[in-house]
Amino acid sequence: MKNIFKFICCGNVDDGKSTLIGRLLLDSNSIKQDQLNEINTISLKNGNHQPQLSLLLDGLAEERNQQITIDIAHRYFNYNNIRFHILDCPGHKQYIQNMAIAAATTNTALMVIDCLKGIQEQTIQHLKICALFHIKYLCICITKCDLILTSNNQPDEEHLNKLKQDISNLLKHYPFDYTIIPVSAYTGYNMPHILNQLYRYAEKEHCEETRNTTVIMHIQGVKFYQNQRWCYGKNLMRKQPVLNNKYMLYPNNIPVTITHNPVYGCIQLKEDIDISAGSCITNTLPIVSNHIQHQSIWFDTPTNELLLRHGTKFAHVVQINDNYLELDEPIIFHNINEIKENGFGIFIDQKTKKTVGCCTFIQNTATTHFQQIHGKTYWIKNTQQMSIWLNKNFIFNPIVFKLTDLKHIFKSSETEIIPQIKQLTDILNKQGKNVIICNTKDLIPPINDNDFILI
Amino acid sequence: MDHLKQLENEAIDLIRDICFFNDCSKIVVLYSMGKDSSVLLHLFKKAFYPFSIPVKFLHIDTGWKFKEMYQFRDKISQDINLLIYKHPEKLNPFTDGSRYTDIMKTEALKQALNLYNIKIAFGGARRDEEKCRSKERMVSIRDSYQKWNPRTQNPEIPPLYNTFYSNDTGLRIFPLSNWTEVDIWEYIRQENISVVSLYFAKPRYVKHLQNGQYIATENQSGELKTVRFRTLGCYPLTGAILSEAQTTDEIIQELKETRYTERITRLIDYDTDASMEKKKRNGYF
Repeated sequence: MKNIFKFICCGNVDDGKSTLIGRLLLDSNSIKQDQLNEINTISLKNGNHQPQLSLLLDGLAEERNQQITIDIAHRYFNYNNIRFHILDCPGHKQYIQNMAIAAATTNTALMVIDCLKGIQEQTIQHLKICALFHIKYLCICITKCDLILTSNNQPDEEHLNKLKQDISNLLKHYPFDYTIIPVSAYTGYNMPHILNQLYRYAEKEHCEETRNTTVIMHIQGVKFYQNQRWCYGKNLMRKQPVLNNKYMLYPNNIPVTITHNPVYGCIQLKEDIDISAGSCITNTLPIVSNHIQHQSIWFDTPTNELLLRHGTKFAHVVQINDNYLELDEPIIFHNINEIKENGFGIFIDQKTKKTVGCCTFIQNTATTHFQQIHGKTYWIKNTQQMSIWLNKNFIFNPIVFKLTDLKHIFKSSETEIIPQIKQLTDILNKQGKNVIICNTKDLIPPINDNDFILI
Repeated sequence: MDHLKQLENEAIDLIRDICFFNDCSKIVVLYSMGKDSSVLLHLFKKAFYPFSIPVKFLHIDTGWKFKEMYQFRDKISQDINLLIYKHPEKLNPFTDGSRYTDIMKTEALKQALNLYNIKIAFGGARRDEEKCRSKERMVSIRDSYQKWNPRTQNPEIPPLYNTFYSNDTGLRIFPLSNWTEVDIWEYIRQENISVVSLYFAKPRYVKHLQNGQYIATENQSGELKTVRFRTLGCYPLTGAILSEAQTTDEIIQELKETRYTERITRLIDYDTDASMEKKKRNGYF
């Protein structure tokens, strides 16, 4: 029984990423004798008497001949009760898209900085990409410390401190939880430290995952069998929906109950409702919209005919510029800083069928106008609009109001808002509805038909 | 969450993604009767429960497989829709060397995919099997000649796979990419999946080759040793290992202690330094 922990290894070209990972694999006993014999033979052929550890990662002949990494290498090793899944990224500017796609799928990055070269252009580029994809943990390894040994066989403290200071100054602008470790993959200096640090991150991520009860299930397809609808979907959050609990179905915006879940991702619903590929069952409050603010990275020149794939939906792009995206139908997503797994999409060129780019969703809910976005979901912008709503009859049941980031929207103290909410709550209570108030990042508690949710 | 559960979920997500969003008549699952194929078959059953599997399976037969494998195939083919394709040429692994693999496996696979008009082929390859496989995508593009070019692959962000292909390209799908050999055996134990008996140790007639490998012999010639097979292919090209592991538990224990990778038992992968890469570039799965 192991937990899988994914991380990427990135940094400037030739700073020693593949060598560092090769060393990690070697130290964790995941390199077999025949693999070692093979790299010894090639190293000798190249005129090196020490085995070149990067050869363990560079699996293509082109890579081994040029001694660079072109594509991501996936390697695995076990340490205690954790299965580490490493994505070794290329450092060349030319292959930056390969680094970007790797960063999209993990929460942790091992960033490599050469102790002699210091911070380079690609180091900063990679940091920016890590920030774009909301990498949480950053383990910075100052590599090749065997090159700056002083007379007492220790790395030059003064040099290291200066570099550490530079790195800390640079990272002031980024929201990472980071540590800096000087290492030498060649001699093995400080390598156990890295392993321990990664292990700590893995434990942290595992704890967060255990506490998290978020369910986001994108429906891939529905089939009819024995008078029942069988819905197949993918669970984004590694959490199975709980039987007999209520979840919200988007974009229909109706609560549903799960009655049967025989195998992974296959469910039956109690309610007899229209559900199709692209729908989403969740206990969170996603944004359902076809007007999206985004940040994108392009791997190829975008054309006029683009598809956006998010979840299990393929939507046509109507209009796109640097930060705004309009689709022909709404998609169900979260801001990347709220739920990363549901916060990005890929662009597919309809002509060539190639993946040409990816984007992260950064919807600024505070500036979204008061409008009916979809079905029965409403956005409330300010107190005046709130009072308009207070005088309306709520004919829908339940109605979901989204009021994200209260302080930010109202730009006034929280106390001013509370009477308004109180007023609304009273009215709704009189109508026999149960009101639940929670913060944006909280999850919706189990929903009853009579509940009213205010966020 | 348990790592087997996570790997299972990831594979099922990919299988459903490809099959729900594409025409199933253009999809096959490459089936070799090996342990990875057996796991893949099990995952397909789970992915479409309670329905039957909507896609066909394809076995590229060289005529030189172990007889236990043919018996196993006959048993399995009652459950699934299995196509069998054999290259018209009759080559011999003993005398034809690497040409045998090129024609009987790679060429035969390409011919079969063209014959049945297949655009998408699932395979049970894993990234930990071989160094160039560690560079492979889960959804991998093949050009109009079925060739692999690592430089023209799509950037891939799981679980958002690009399930499209253009008219002149095809896809190879590898749902077991992130599994290791031990994971496969742990999953076989957990799900009680039946595999060919050759994987379990038993006294068998073998011939000791100069490079230290044991090759199974026909007609009870050679010496009798307790061996098992870590991988299964054509019997003259598959080395056996000395082993006492008769149960899945014992196999898992043995694999955790072994000092060698499973590819060491495949004679064909050690022709040259990048032989697997060359074969893949030519259209091998």
